[in-house]
Amino acid sequence: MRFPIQPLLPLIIALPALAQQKAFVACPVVRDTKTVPCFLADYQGETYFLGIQQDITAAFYPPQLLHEVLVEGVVAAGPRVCGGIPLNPLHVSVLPELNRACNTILPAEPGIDAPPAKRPAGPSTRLAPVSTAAVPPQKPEPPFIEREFVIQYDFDSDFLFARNTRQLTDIAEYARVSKAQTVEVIGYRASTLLSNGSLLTEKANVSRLRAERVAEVLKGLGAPASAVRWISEPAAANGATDYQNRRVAVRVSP
Amino acid sequence: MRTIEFIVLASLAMGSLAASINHPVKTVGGLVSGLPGKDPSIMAFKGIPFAAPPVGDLRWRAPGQVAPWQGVRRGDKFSASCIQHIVAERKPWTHEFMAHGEISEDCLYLNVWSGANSPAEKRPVFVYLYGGGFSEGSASVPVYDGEGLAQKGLVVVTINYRVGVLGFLAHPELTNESAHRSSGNYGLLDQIAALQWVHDNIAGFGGDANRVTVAGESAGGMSVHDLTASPLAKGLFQRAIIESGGSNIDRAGIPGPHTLAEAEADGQKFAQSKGAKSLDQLRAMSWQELTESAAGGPTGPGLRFAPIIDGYSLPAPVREIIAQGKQNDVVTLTGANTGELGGFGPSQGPPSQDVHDRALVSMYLWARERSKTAHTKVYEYLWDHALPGPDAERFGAFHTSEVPYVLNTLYMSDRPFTDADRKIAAMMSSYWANFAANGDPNGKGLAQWAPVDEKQEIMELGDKTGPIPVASSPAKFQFFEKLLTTPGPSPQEQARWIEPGLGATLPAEVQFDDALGRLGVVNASGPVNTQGHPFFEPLGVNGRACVTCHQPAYAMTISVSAIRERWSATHGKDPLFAAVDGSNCPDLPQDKESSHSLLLNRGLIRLAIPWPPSSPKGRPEFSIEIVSDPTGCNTGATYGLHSANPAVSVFRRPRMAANLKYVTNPNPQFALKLGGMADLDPETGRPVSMNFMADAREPSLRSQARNAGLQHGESHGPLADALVQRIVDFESQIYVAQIFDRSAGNLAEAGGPPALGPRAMAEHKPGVLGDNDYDPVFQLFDAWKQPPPAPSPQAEFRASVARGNDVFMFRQFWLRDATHINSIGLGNPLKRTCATCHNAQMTGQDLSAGWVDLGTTNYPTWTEPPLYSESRELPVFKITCDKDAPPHPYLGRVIYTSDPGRALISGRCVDVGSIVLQQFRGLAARAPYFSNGSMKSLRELVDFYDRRFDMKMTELEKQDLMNFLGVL
Repeated sequence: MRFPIQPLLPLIIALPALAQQKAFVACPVVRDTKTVPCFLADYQGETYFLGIQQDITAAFYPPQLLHEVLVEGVVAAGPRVCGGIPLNPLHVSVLPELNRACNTILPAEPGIDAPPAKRPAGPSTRLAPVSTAAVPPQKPEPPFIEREFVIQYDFDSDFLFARNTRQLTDIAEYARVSKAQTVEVIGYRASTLLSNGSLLTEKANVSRLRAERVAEVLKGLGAPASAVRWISEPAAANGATDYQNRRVAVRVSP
Repeated sequence: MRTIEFIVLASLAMGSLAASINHPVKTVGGLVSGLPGKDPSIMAFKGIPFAAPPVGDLRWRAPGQVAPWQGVRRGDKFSASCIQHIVAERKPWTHEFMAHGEISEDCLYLNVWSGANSPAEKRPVFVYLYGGGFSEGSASVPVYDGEGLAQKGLVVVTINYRVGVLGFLAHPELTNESAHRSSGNYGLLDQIAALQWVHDNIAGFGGDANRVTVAGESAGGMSVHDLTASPLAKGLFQRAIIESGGSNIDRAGIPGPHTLAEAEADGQKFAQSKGAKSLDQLRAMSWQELTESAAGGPTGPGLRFAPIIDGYSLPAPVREIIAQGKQNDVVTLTGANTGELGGFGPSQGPPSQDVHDRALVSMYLWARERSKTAHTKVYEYLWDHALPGPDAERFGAFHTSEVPYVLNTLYMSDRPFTDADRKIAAMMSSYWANFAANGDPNGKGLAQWAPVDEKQEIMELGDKTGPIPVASSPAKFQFFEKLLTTPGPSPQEQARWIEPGLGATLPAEVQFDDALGRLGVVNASGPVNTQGHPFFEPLGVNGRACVTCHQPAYAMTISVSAIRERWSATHGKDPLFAAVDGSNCPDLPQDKESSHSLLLNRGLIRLAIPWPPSSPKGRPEFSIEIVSDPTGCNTGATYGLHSANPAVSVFRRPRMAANLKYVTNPNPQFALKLGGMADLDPETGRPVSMNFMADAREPSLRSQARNAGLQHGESHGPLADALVQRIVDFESQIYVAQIFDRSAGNLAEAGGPPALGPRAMAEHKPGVLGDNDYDPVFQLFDAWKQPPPAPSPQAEFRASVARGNDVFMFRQFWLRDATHINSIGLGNPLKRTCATCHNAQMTGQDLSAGWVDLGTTNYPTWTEPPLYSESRELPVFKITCDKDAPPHPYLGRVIYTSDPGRALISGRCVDVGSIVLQQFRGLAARAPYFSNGSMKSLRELVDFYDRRFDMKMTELEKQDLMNFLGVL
């Protein structure tokens, strides 16, 4: 849902650093290279570099053709990458609805190269083995104090990617080793203030879906939640750190 | 001495209470006293040693002489049983059928019951050998109590013999140290020593050493067969009773006895498994160490401890000895029970008529074969009386159930016997006693029992008593006579199509011709006796067994060519074509070929998935409408979506029930495609692979077997846990893969590609991710990449296969719009290779829970003809997703599909059209491919992928890829 810009002007004025901050929705563009493909997005006549194809052990999960992508990042110094302006930090979310217009694959061109990839565009190599096997959780060390773990999400999504599940394994292990008295799960919903001033707000039930799915996983991992709740009211958006509000907080109290 | 005097006096005093033989009785070892039984006219002498204790250095030696004792030995209690795993009960065998109490290697003792008043009476002697599969059993098992037949005038002897590894281990070192250059048959030698003891001593108990009947049931009966063939037992008995001991000529599924060399090889494997480098080390081990994983019986896969052809006690297989006329030719009484005709395990319901006919004809033909060289008669029976008690209806006249009747020991059981039971016991024990006394079971007040002759009849005993024909019709007799006596088809031919219930041996390793060469099958646990095995037996009303749709010759599924052959051979009467799911819809006329078109043309079985699904929380995220219904089943009033039991009928190929360690290997607790936890097995609480059914609807092989029994087999009720376990055990040990290719030659030769052939499947470890360039999915084909010494068509083909592996592993293309691949964080598109999705080493499945919308069932990439085409065979559904639900990532909220796949189980829109990936093994034996059977050949398969992902493969690449797939 996008709102008109007018009501939000005071908020934008309050954040002078936003000039380098980019938050926009666009079709991703795939640029083939002689190695792995780059993922780009065009916004207001400029091309931004989002990342390259890797695998699920990488920090960056590429966007998807046939879907718009929400880009939230800060313009970074340095030369263009794969023809696009780099953003760092950067958060990309695949928006769930289908958009058949998002379907551009640019061919490889001389002089446009992807940055070095840990994994090539085929099977993994000895240098960068990939494992889908369960990563053994880090054994938590004392002191065992109340800790809050934060799981972050793509916009409008409650899907737990591989990176989230590793995090949940760690949380369950902390709860187990610290003999947690309470494990509280709180789901949140967020809005994102886009660079064009409009506000993008997540679907109404997403905080509940996030909380319930995390609680279900923790139960499966042997760390059942003592309380599960969700906050449906999105926090105020600022166009800079809004991605942080798409989250589930897990408070573990020994 | 004082003690002995007391015993003697006490014994004499007791003896004076009833008329019975004077005791103590003198035996070769010394004097032995007895105690009166419940019937004071019967004296029981228990625990008499008949051989030296086989302990220490005497372990695995022929039984030695009894060490004489001084004074009088008290025969007042049973000895320990031989080493075995003691089980209190194993239904239907309740406690009275089981051995109890102490076990020891020092177990070679026997027991005598006698009602004789003096040695001069010379009563007939009845020596009973226990069953228990040569791994358990005891002379002290309650139902073997000797008093029942002693009351009928016999002197009864029960004996212990060594079982399991302590009774039947052969080993080259044991053979070497033996004066007879043999080893292995210690248990059999114990039986012979006991018979010798009877011969030498029984007169003292009032028995007639020249009127000895040796009797036994199950393994005891098999032992009697062996004793009739053993030169060492010659003259030691004059009659034989063999209850349920395999008096038939049907060898289907029954492995023959091992030769000495085979048994020695097993013995070496056993020693190796125990870490013993020498016989001395084996002898130094405790029996606990020797049997800790053995339960007194077989110790490892393929190891078997039972009588063998040792060249000494058994010079040749019994059948050969009889054919040569070298047997101990004694009158024989033998038979079987209705409840065991399909196998010796606990039965479920009565046998089918064919199973019944086959078993009886086989038993009759055994007597006919025997009569060619024997001069003595055979009396044959079929026992039909259900033992009352727990699950009597279910178990019927089960294996061993006749024992308390023939031994007249109902009093040892607390089952709810009635007067009818007592009458039957009186009759049965009279037949047995008459036979022991006269070599003829007939006697006053008993129905006439004729010996086997040309009449093709045997005696039914129990509820009905009287002669019955051995087959339900002359035609059936001729059919089974021919089947059983025609020089047998090869194991391959026998197992080419296994019909439920008819029995066939499935060898440990077997090969079957297929479209491109030969499929190899390995049973890692050794040959499989299909007779009575629940995977191979009809499960319910439609006559189907698991094997109907999971045939070893077709890579444990079925091919369309095989299906069509069955239709022709049986005119559509094979249980494969059962209305429930072997036809397009049960309400169609079943005799018409068109009513089975999906099975005949595509190999598809109908699955009626209840709608809405019960598993997801809340209601499903989408509604479903029927757009096209060529079978009529989805719109029909009885089976359709709007019927009283709403269901969605989809049509899918049966999956391979082989190589399952790879398929059921649980990957992590998380299912990447679910974005959450994998399903848990409710029985174990552990995460499951979600990878062995098209829609991952069942968590485990156990639940799948139960469900398949009910749905596909239309079983009478849920399968018993023991049967389910046998099905799962069988499925879990069978491996298949192509083993010979007409162009590439032997695929499993030393030095060749290491992943080829079924043996490689059996030996490799599961759970290995192969999407890498150093230990790839089907490992390395380097051996076939080397330039050959001389060019040849074979070398050329092998090089093509190796290139095909490289296409599979390394040929990049844009992998796009595939739900649960592109949508789980990898991005869309993904510039990768076939091995990205087909990443599980050895099978080419997805190692994580593997459902993917490849696009085979969903518009616009589906493999069906267009919606408007008249040739469309599959139904088409319109799926409309709720506006609040996450849509299908590449098709949105309105999807046309011929099979919603996983979504019918999960209720999630994102899962519409997602189907679990299949194994890539044995492809040449099981066309067509894909869950909807839409690809008739490997060429069509390769072409589909080329189109679907716009791969732009060259003709050479396609050919190489096909050649590669064909050798898997």
